Amino acid sequence: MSDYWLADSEARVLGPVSLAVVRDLALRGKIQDVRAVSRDGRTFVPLREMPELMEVLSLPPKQGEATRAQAEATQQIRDWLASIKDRPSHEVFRVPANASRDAWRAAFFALIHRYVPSRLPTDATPELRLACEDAFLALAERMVAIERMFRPGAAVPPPPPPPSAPSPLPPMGPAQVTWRGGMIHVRLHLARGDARPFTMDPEATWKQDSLAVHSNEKVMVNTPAEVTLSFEGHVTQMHATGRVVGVKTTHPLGFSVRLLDLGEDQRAMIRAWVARAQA
Amino acid sequence: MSLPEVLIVDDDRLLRTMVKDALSDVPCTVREADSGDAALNAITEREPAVVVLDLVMPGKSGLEVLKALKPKGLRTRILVLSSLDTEALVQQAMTDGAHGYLAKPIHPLDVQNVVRAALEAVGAKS
Repeated sequence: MSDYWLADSEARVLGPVSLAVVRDLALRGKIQDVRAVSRDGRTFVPLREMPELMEVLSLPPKQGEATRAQAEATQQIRDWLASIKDRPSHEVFRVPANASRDAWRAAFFALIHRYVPSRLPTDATPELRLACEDAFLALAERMVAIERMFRPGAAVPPPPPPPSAPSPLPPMGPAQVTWRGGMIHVRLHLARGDARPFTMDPEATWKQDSLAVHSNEKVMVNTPAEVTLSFEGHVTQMHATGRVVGVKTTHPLGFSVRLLDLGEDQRAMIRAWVARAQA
Repeated sequence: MSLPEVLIVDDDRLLRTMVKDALSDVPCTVREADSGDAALNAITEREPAVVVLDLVMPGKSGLEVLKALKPKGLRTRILVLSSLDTEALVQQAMTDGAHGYLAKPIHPLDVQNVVRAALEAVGAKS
């Protein structure tokens, strides 16, 4: 069996591994940054000098494998979130109920490390990204409550209870709508748990790549629209263009927009957002 | 009686810190090594009860560490910690002498449980 050593751009080495192991790793999308290779672990040459490795490493990852792994990871996080929902924080953080502030913080950082959204691979599915953000926010919210207990003057801690259930959504305010030439620009900021623009108008739901906008602005059907959506807890905004497909003339006034250039990632993001709001 | 020792081998300092923090509730002492060579030196100097070993590191890789330790017949339990968790590589690591395989990203509680089990297997009470 031929053995190979692979080195990445930071001179970190994996090896000795067979060509079959390298192929397996490449197909699972597990290695992408191979810069130098070796047959003895001592003398490294550029990857291009070993065509058999070049060929194996250029294999595209199996889409299904990567997607399945991410779906499993997403489910694990969702299960974990469900399992901690009603548990007190000291059980979630695995510290004594009367732990010191340092102990709480150490436990928090140890736990949160896994869910930092910026550590996700760039091809992470929107569902996995959202699950990580939910876990991140759930832990961060608990930590905020814990930090509050240690403020000067705060009474000595009973262990913090699990966060209370989210309060009912406030009535929707009008969206920010501005005109640019003959086009409207709609800015919507969605609070956590609020997917109403995608669900409240049965003729313009996310299933039709559409959303309803609450606004007093007078627009006409077919007016071109540029939509910017921001989702609470998410760093990135979503931009899409579309057209007004319906105008509401009864109160509350508004209109609906069909988004015409949504990518699959954006659809999945909206789908996951709606699913979370309805959960 | 002295506490059993766990050696954490990873070139990522953050990861070493995370594993160390995860073991704060486990009665053991912790040493760290940031490369395969440093790990071999540390093990030669004093045999730990458990090694938590990354596979991809500068200098000697984790697999080379496994291969170097195998003929020594140590009682040390070696737990591989890697994001490269394909079946073929896991199989190879186990053949080369690993006793367990943890896939990154890891949950601190998983680390705790697996290290506790390894300490018990090696006869060190945790």
